[in-house]
Amino acid sequence: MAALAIAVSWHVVEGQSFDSRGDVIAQSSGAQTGAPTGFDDQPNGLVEPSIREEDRADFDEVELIPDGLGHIYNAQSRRSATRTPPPVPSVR
Amino acid sequence: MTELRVGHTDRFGRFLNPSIPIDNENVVITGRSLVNDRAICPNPEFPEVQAQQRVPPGANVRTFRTSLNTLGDGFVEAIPSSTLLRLAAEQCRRTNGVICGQPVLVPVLEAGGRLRIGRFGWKAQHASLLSFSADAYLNEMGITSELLPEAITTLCDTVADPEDQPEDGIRGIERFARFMRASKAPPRDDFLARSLDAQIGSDLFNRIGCDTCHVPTLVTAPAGSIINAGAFTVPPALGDKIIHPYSDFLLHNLDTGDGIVQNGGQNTANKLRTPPLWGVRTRIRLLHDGSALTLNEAILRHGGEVRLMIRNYRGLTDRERQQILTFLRSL
Repeated sequence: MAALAIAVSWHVVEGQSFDSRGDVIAQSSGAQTGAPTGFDDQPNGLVEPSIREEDRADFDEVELIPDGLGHIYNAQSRRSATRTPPPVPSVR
Repeated sequence: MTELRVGHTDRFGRFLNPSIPIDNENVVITGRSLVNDRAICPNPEFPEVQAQQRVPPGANVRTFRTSLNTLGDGFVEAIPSSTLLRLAAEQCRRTNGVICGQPVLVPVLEAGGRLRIGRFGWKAQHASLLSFSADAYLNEMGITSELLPEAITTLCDTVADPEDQPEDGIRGIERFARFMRASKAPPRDDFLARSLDAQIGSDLFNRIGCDTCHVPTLVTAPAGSIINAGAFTVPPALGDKIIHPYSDFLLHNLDTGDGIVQNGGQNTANKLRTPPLWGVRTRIRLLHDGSALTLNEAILRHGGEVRLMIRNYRGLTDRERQQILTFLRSL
């Protein structure tokens, strides 16, 4: 079984123990809630909206040769590298 | 965006990355399957340099790969690796070994290459969004960073490495990772989701077994969990969150495979990560290469491990199949 092919072992890094799957899971408070959803480009609570705006500006920024673009490349911005078609709402 | 990946198989059937000569064979690019579409030279400063890559003769493995939605990826990063391993074990047991998603351990660059279960990219080749970000900087934009400081080549490249330097105290790869981590998950189309057809379609989707791999609901690790091999602590905004990605983030062979090997070893050549279906209504080109242009076509292209589910799908009435498609259009 593929899942069992990954044997779990433990190692210590900077004083903390990690299993070989790369995580140490904390105790849950038991209060699980739905993740925020939306195509509104607002942050999910991780950062303030002003930080989100700064990050989005960087996401949109077009990189040029003096910025380090290339020598070979597919896209000039993070937006174009991850671009998917826009959402199409259903007819109401 | 669609990227091009190529390679070839040797006489033992093993996938090998191509050697791609550029600049009239003065330079050879090796060690990766990606072929970039563009080059910065020739340009006024280097009019004689021909840096454009081309698919080399003998590259008998060729595939396009569409870019993936990154919305909600902060929550995906926070899924415990143990959850993905449990899904793999459970689906393999429940299907008597027919459907056995393969988890792959991949290096976390910011953790010095220590390993974690991958979940991002068509080959689940990344486990952390910062590693994914550094990879995208280098391989999609040609920009070196602290995590991947060596350029693919230095041909006609005049900017010192690493090219991604901090601005306002933060590097570009960190800002990109934060942007993805702070994104909300794709929402349902509430209007369509409330329709009777979509609700029946959801039940049918589960009943014929699609939810074996397109897992509807997962829960992220609690806040304070240390993930990414020690490099990231799950913050409260991402911890203990219920998400509906419709994926197991594991590799499967559906007979649609691209033949490319990245981090998972030779047996992953024809396997691909289950793409999350959240937000699928926003995509018009489906499967890894964008070659399926309707949801129905994408479903019917599934085979391999899930051939039984597709037989179930074919056995539904026209009305029932439409109800499943309505459900999918609500995601």
